[in-house]
Order: sequence, then structure tokens, then C-alpha cells
Amino acid sequence: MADSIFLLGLCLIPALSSVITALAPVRGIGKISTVLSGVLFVWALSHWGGADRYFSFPWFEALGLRYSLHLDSYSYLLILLSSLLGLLCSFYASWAVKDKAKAYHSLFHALQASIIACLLAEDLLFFYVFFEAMLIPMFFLIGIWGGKNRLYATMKFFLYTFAGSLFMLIGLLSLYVIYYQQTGEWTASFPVLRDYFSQFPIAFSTEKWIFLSFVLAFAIKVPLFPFHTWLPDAHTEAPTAGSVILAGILLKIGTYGLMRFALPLFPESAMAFATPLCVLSVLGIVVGAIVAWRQVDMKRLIAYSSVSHLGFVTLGIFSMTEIGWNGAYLQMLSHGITTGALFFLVGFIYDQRHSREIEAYGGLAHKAPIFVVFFVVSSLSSVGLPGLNGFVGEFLILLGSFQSVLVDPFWVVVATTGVILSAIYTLHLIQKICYGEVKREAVGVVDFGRREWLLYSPLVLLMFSIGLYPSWVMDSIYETTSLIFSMMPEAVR
Amino acid sequence: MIETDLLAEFWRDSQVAFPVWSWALSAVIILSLQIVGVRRGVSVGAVGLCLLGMIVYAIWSFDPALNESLYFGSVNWDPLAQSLNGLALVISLGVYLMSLPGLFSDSKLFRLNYHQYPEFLTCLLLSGFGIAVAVSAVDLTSFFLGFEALSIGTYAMCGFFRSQIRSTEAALKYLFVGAFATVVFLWGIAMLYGATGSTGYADIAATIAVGPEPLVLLACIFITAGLAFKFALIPFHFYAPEVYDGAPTPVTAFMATAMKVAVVGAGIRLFWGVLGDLSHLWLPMWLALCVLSILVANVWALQQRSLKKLFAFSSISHAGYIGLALLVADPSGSEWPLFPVLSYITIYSLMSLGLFALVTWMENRDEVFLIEDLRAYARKNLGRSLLLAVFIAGMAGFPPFAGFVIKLMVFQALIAQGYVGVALLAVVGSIIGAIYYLRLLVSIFMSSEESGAASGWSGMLDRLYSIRLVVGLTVLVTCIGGLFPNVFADRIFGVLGRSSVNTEISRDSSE
Repeated sequence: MADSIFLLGLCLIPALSSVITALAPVRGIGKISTVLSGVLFVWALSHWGGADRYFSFPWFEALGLRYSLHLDSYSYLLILLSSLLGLLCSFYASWAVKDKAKAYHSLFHALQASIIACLLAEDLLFFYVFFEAMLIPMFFLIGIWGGKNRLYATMKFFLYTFAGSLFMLIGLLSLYVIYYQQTGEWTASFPVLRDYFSQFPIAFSTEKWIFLSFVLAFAIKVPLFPFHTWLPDAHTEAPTAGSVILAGILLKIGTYGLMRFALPLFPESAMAFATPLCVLSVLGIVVGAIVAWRQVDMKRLIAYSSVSHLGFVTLGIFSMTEIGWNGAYLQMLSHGITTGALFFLVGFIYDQRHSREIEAYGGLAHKAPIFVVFFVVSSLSSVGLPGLNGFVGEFLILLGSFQSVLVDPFWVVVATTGVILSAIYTLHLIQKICYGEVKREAVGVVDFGRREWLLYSPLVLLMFSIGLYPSWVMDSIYETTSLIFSMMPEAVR
Repeated sequence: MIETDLLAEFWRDSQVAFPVWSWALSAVIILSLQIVGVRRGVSVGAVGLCLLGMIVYAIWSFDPALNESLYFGSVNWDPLAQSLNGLALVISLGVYLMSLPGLFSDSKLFRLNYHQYPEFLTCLLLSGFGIAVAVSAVDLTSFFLGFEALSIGTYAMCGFFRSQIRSTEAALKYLFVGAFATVVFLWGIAMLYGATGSTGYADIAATIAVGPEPLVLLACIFITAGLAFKFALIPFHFYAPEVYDGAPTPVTAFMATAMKVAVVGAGIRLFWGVLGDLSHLWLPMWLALCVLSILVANVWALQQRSLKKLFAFSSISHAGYIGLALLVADPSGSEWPLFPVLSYITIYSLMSLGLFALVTWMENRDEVFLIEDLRAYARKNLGRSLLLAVFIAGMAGFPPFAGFVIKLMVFQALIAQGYVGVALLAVVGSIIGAIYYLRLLVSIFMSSEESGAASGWSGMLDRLYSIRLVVGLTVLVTCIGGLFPNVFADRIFGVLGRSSVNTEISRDSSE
């Protein structure tokens, strides 16, 4: 009972918030929305350290589909991050978004609801529904509040992801039908399918296609090189809070899907395709980093750095080692915190000067010293400086990949150069905009006020706390990872 | 004495088949009222009462166990016929409600023809009669008669806005092309008769396997072509965009939905009931037509400028999905073969009704409704824009709306029957479709250019709140159907029952 109330609350609080903000008066909508996000965050936080929770409710009995929810630490930490970023985004939007604010907040909460439902889903089709449903609010968020080229970006974003996920739908339905044909029962429940197919595996010739359809959908979402081309456009054009949630959570749904569904369901295919997928990840790391170096737009630079950092995550996942997975999961969280912070910081100066051109800024250290401190800390966390959160994940991923039999050490060495490259482009960015002469756009930048302190300090605190004492999040990740690996066949372990 | 027996049987059958001929009875009542010379409003109200009464009767008399061959084996009154007849009633009620503003001279729906509005409704009722016959027919003659009654009423309704050249053009085009289709249809029927020496489905099914194969193949081709015409499958669709565009919008709604209901009912009986053993003859043709419709119609829709033509192409592609669902309604192949096709047609019909009701409400009948007219419509009228967005998302099949659930069922049925390749092609069609649906949303909500013409239109005067009623109810269906599909799935299951589905197909009853 307590479980069902808690889990339904997680899904329904943002859904109701969406309705409330749509109906509430325009005056003070930002405050209302922030309070509602705060309620969600507190609700989510109250679970800290708790055991797994389950809930199930019939959705479509005729096809054996249910609203099955399962909360474990993999889903919980992302939900917690999502609600924290959601709170910060609402807070930020309460002053930054003035045009059609009600619609903005309403869509934002709807997005939050579908993200949480997606992360909780245990039924594959239920997961799929929300995997796609979250595209609709994001489509509007980018398309209405985005930058100049927003229509192109939002169409590209929607169609790319929609196309990938529809192929996954076919794969998913094939799996569901195969289960029916073998057992005479309709179900898309993940644990049932996993247990069954680990005992009676599907023929590899079929399984590989199903696996690849899943990988395609998630690879587009992550995005894995070479499916990443939608990301820079979407990130650059999205409004600040949209970029934050996109980088912070939406991309992670892709890697989450791989860890939660694709690999545990098809370990054999995963082993077979791990090597090429690792190579793609490494290429993503290097190409993303090199392209990021050449960018003139700050948001685009951060977007490409996301491609690079998520390449590390997928490398860790496809290394198929427990250490790699732990690192990958932590890197997902770190990247959400770090990149979220960076997008907020870019948003801070963009809102003042309406320019994101790197060349236009310079010498911000003179004009806005506190901003620069925050910016440098976040950037260094993105580089992976020891003592900050970015380091732990990347270190574990590289460790896992070196151990893995599936990845040639050569590629891991190549991936390591990604760390160096990221130092190059990040320091380049810091040097250009923070130091040197005070350039034209930098002249009018006003430094942090009280609300900015409030907004940015939680993220920076998290960066230090994870960097200095990772165990407080790592312990629960370890447990879930080893649980997932214990259910995989011997060959993987 | 034989004659009294016949009469007694006729009388008994007529009691069972009351839902069928009550359509015609209502039409006669309305015509009589017109002759007597009551006020327009009274006869229009009477139509509403008749439709409501028929719906109540259909629900009250519904009997999933009923499976009776009536009128000397020409119609079969079974759960399939009952449920599709019920759907036709709901559609007709919807069309009636959305055309109600036509009662008033200033509503612009039919302009000068408003005083003939009761005649329009008579045509609607007679078309409905055609559907009821078509979905219950188990004889080639009654099958043909049903379709003719349906078509003739629809021709007349298409041209009802006589003072407007587009409407007249639509009616004429539809009439000529429809007449041609009828001939093709009839030809196929004649060949089937030639091959088997009978027009009754049960007899045909019993003898067809031994009939001469080439003749049966030709019959299959012509009948498939005739049905594809009515269904507007590519390449038999070419009349549809123009006719949909020119006809008064409530009639467009009727054509996009009711016509498909009739084809679904007749198609299930004919394809699976009579020609089920010969599926190798017609199945590839039908499959090709459906896949072609899904792919090509979506590509063509990308290039449309007129909103109603766009929705016409969208309905052609939906016809493709319905066709696929019908294709996998193989009674030997799955546990509940009719479930996908019936769910699809029901949900699709309700969504289309709502969409066209909304268009009726928004449009300015004097001009073609262009897509660019919708530019920045949300700025002027957010409520209608949101409603439109729900219908568009539903039609495009984006979760969590009902349109997704029905597509899901079709994909699932296709894969279960081994048509994975077809499912992949259907998915490609959906992706192409998403482009134009998204473009609509972009233009309504995100356009930064100056507002299109639609923002300036006052729209239809909806004095009786009838259009709003249709839109409101169908929006609810579109949302609830997606979030809680159990609600409608239970209804359809309740109607058909997992086990009773097989028995209602006349092939089994003939055995």
C-alpha cells in the first residue's frame, strides 16, 4: 500500500502539477510551479535509502499489458536527479520565462511526469509509451521557446527519436509475440521475459535483430556516434531549462534503457555486438571532443561535449563488466549534474547579453567573478578533474574497459585521449570567455545575485560531494549492478 | 398455406432485424413529416430522436449469442453486424450533431440550402440503412444493395451545398467514379456467381473450392478493386481528396468513417467468410494495396496545401492500416481475430468525427481551408488549437493517445501472423506521416510569422452546442482510449467475447 501510494505519487504529482499550472493564474505562476516541483523533489527524496518498491495496475488487459512500476536504485537516482533538476529549472524559469509562462510550466511538468513514468516502468510497452510520450512536451518546449532555428531543430529532434523508437516497437512486439507463441500467454513484463528468455533463448538469427532495434532506439536517444546529429541542434535551440533537462535526463533514458532492458534481455547478442558498439562509443568520444573544440557557440560546444561524455557511458556499458557499469551509471549522474550546471551558467549570461558566441565574450573574471568561479568548477568537473564528480565515473569506465575481454586495449587508449581532448576544449572555452581583455558583450554582464547562488550552489555541492566521497551514491549502484549481472548468463559474468 | 408460412417467417425475421430497417423507417417518417408540412425544426428534432431511439434499442437488444440468418439467407444478424451497426449509428449521430447548425440560415453550413436540411438528414438515414445492410449481408445481392443505398445517399449529401461549385463538383466526381466502381464490383459478383452458381455466401463457400480457378481469381480481383474503391485505397483513391475537400465537412466526416465501417463489415464476411480458403488469391493483392496506401498516401499528404485534402490523404493511410488489420483477422490464425480491426475502426472513426467536427467549427465555408491559414492559430484561439493538437497527435499515433493503441494492436497482430516485413513498412509510413502532422502543429503553435487567415474567421455558429458536444466527447475518447485502453477494449470484448468471434463468421456457420 505504502509502495503504491509512493510510486503513484511520483507519477501523479508532476501530472497534477501540469494541470494546476495550466489552470493557475498567470501572476505568480513561477512560484506555484517551483513549489510544485519542490513537492515532487521532497516526495522523491523521502525514499532515500529505502528498499525496492513495486506497483502494478492493469492497463490493457486484452494484450496482457499492465502499468507495472518498479523502483530500484537505478531508476531512483535518476528520478531524484530529474526532480532536483526539475526544481531548479522551474525556479530558473520563474524569472527567465516571461512569454506564455503558464504553457511553459505546464509542459515542463508534463515532461517531468512522462520521464518519471518511463524510469519507473517495468512493462516494456508501458516504458515505450512514455519513452515516446516525452517527445511531445519537449517538441513544444523547443519549438515555442527556442532560439532562431528552433523549428528545424525541434522537427529533427522529434523525427529522429520517433523513427528510432518505432523500430524498437517492432522489435519489442516481436519479443512479446515470441513469448506468446512459446507459452500461450501475453505479457510484456520485463522480469518475466528476462527470466524466460534466459532459460530458453531465442535463436540468435532472430534475437540479433530485436537487439539491434532496441539499440537503434537507445543509440539515437543517447546519442551514440553516428546518430548524434540531432543533439547539437536541439541543445542549441532549446530554452535553457529545456537544454538542462534534455542533457540531464532525456539522454540518460537512452543509456538507462540499454542497462535496464536491452542488455539484460539479450546478453548473447550484446556480447556479439559489444565490440563494434564499443568502437562507435570511442569514436563518439574522440569525434565529439574534436568537434567541440572547433565550436564558436557555447551551447553547441557543450552539446558536442555531451556526445563525447556519453560515449564514455556507452563504452562502460558495452564493456559488459560490473565496474564499467558502475562507472557508466555514475557518469550518467555526473554528466546530468555537470552539464545541467553548464547549461544553466550559459543561460545566465545569454539571458543578459543574448549572445552565445565564444568570441564575443572575454574577461568575465573581471566583471562577474563569482560566475567565473562556478563556471570553472563546473567545467573542471566536466573535464574529469580528480576531486570532482566527473573523475570517478570516467576512471571506473576506463578501468572496466581495460578489464573487458570484448574491447581491445587499443580502443581504450584512444578513449583516454578523449579526457585530454576534453581538457583542451574546456580550458580553451574558460580561457576565451573568462580571462583576457573585457570584450564587448562581457561589459554589461552583472554578477550573481541571491537567486543565482540559490540556483547554482546545490549543483556545485553535489559535484564536490560525489567527487570527494563517491560511496554515498555508489553503494546503492553497486548493489543493483551486481543484482543485474547475477541474472545474466555465465558467459557475461 | 406455404404463403402464410413465408409471411410468418418474414414477420419473425423483421422483428429480429428491426435495427436494420428502423433506419429506413426513420427516413420514411422524416419524409412524411416533410410532406405533412411541419416546421423544419420539428423534423430535424425527429431525426435526432430517431437516432437516439435506435441507439438505445441497439444497446438494449444487443445479444452476443444471437446469430441468425434472416430473410431467407440474405442477411445474418450476429454480433459483428450488431456492433458495426451500432458504430454506424454513433457515427450518424455525430454527423447529425455536427451538421445541426445547418438548420439556421445564417450558419453558412449549407448557405441557401438550409431549408432542405431535413432532406439532407433523410439521405443520411438512408445511407445508414445501406451500412446496416452491407455489414449484415451474407448474400451477394443484399451486399450489393447495401452498398448502393449507402453510396447514393452519400452522392446526394456531397453535393448538398449546391450554390458552391466545389460541392457540386465533388458530388459529380464521386457519382461518376462511384458508378464505375459499382460496375467493377458487379462484374466481380457476376463472376463469382458464374463460378459457383449461387449468390448466398454459405453456398458459395461450400462450392468455391471446386470452381474453376481463373474465374474465381478474376472475381477476387474485381471484388477487391470494388471494395478498395469504396475504401479509398491507393490506387483507387484518386477521387477521395477532391471529394473530401469539396463536400460539406460533416459529409466528409461521414465518408471518412461510415464508408469504411461498411467495407470492414462486408470485407470480413466476404474475405474470411466466403473466400477464406482461397486467401492465396486475394491476400497478396489486398496486402499490396494496403501497404501502398500507407506509404504513398503519407508521401502525397506532405505536398498538400488544403487542410481537408491533407486529412483525406491521412484517412487513406488509415484505411491502409484498417485494411491490414482486416487482413490479419484470420479466424484460424489467432485467438480473437476481429479485435484489432474492430478497435481500429471504432477509435479511428471517433477521432475522425471529432477532427472533422472541429474543422466544421473552425472553417469558413466560402474558401478552401488551406494549411497556411492555420499559421499561429494558437495565438488567437488556444482552446481550439489544443483540441486540434490532441486530434492530430491521435491521428499520428503518438502515445499516450488512443491512436497509438490501435496502431499498436495492428502491429502486434501483423507480427503475430508473421508479417514482420509488412509491419516495418507500416512503421516507415507512420514516420513519414509524423512529418506532416508535426508540421501542422508547428504552424499552429510555433509559427512566428503573421497569423494565417483562419485566425480571422468567426467560424461556425454553434448555437445548439452540438458541434462542441461532438468535439468534447471524441476528445475524451482520444485521451482516455490511450491512457486507459481497458475502457474500450472491455467494451469490444464484451461485445464479441473471445470465443464467440469465430462463430460469427459465416464460413463456420455454413459448416
